[in-house]
Amino acid sequence: MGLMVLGDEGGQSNIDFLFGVGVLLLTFIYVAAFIPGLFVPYQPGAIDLSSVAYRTSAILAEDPGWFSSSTINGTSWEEQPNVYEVVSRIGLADDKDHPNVISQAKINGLNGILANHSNYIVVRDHLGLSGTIQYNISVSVKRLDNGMELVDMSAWPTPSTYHVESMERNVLIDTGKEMFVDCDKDRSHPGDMFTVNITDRPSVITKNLTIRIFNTTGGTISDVRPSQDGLNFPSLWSYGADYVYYVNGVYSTTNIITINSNDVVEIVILPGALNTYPVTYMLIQGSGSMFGNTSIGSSYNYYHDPKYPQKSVCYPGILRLEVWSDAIA
Amino acid sequence: MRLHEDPRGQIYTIEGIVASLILLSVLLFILQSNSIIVPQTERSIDMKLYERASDTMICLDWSSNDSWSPMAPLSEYVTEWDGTSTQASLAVLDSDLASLLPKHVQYNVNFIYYDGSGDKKTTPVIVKGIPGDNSVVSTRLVTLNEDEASDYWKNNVYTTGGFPHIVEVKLTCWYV
Repeated sequence: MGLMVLGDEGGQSNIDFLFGVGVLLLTFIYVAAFIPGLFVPYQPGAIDLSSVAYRTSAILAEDPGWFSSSTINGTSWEEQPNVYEVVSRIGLADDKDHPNVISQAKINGLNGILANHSNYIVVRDHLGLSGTIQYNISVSVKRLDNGMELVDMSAWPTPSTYHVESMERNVLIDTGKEMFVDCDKDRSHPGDMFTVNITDRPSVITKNLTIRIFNTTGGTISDVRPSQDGLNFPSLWSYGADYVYYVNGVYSTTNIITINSNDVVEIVILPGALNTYPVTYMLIQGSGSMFGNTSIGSSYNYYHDPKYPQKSVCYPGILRLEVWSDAIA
Repeated sequence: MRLHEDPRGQIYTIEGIVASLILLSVLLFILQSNSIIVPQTERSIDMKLYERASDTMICLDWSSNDSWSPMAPLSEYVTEWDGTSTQASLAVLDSDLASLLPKHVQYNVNFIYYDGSGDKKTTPVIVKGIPGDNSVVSTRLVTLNEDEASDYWKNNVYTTGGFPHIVEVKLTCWYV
């Protein structure tokens, strides 16, 4: 008698069908789980850092920054006495209309904040680098002509990882306004004295006044004297404490300098000299006929003379920014 | 029924195994190809060079009305141009550009303008080679006024006048 298979033979599945489908499903699940791992970039964090570097360099080089207190707000954050409390964004540009022109005064303001090294945190936070990921930076501004570093580099942390993204921007560093006295412009009354008129001055002067004299016929500059009425010019000022000279960019140690016609002299009057008493005129004593127009009673307005206007003196430089993050190894 | 001797019923297993092998070989094929490199790294290098070129042109294009800089402004090179690429002042522009741009970068400078008869002229002014594939371009527009234009502009290009004219200064940079 043969074996009797129980009941109906319909609805049976082969064992080898199950085995084949099982192998297929296993493979499929493995591949499906593996695919997302394919899209992890080989360099973690590389994409993120370059966009942060670009954005931060744009804020530093193209944005003048912003401060805001309960009473006033504006872009001159470097002039505020309580800068740590009121600054909201640290930018170095002169103003919004001139990108890539950064102001020496704002660099000095940045150095002032960094002078206390724990205020590096203030700088970092006000550049937008303290969000869900915290970044660290190091900023350097170097002049191209003399290689001088303008930012206090000791305040920045050193990178702790090898993954540092850097970005460099070309900038023009605006070192301030100077009165440009081009003696060639008017030689109708050549003489040895040049009088500068500062009757439009504010009552307290906080910055240096600089007079840049060039294209003279050569000679000797010996003295700068103040006046409160434009008529009497007593010798009240001393060299070094009240005024200094730079001849072709080099500081002069003495108040008597001999120049020739292609030398450029910058006469810097320090604010202390102008605030001790209300100085309204200054006389520069030269020699021979080096100045162009020194007709009697002529004086030239420091702030807005049409012949000898004020101009910003800008030097080319490189702003270099390095960004890294301790969160991304 | 003796199962282990029955040769029937193998086809489903073979089908399942072959299908898995096809899946795995597709995966292997994709992994082997080099097309999964993220292109952002190369783009950031191009972006940085473009920023430097654009910044260089901005730094050279300043106005002499209210500023002074040791580098002459771009407008002065255009207004004083004598039509050649050997003018002495162009050597100064060349050295200014070399100091502003990063190392290992070569560049060409072209002046582009529409002359008196309306033809577009592209004249190379500084030539240092043929731009590579990854070159970037930055341009600035300079206004040419009649009282400042050199004799070349007035006698050779714009003999009928029609000032002011616009000249485009084009800087092409590439890595070497």
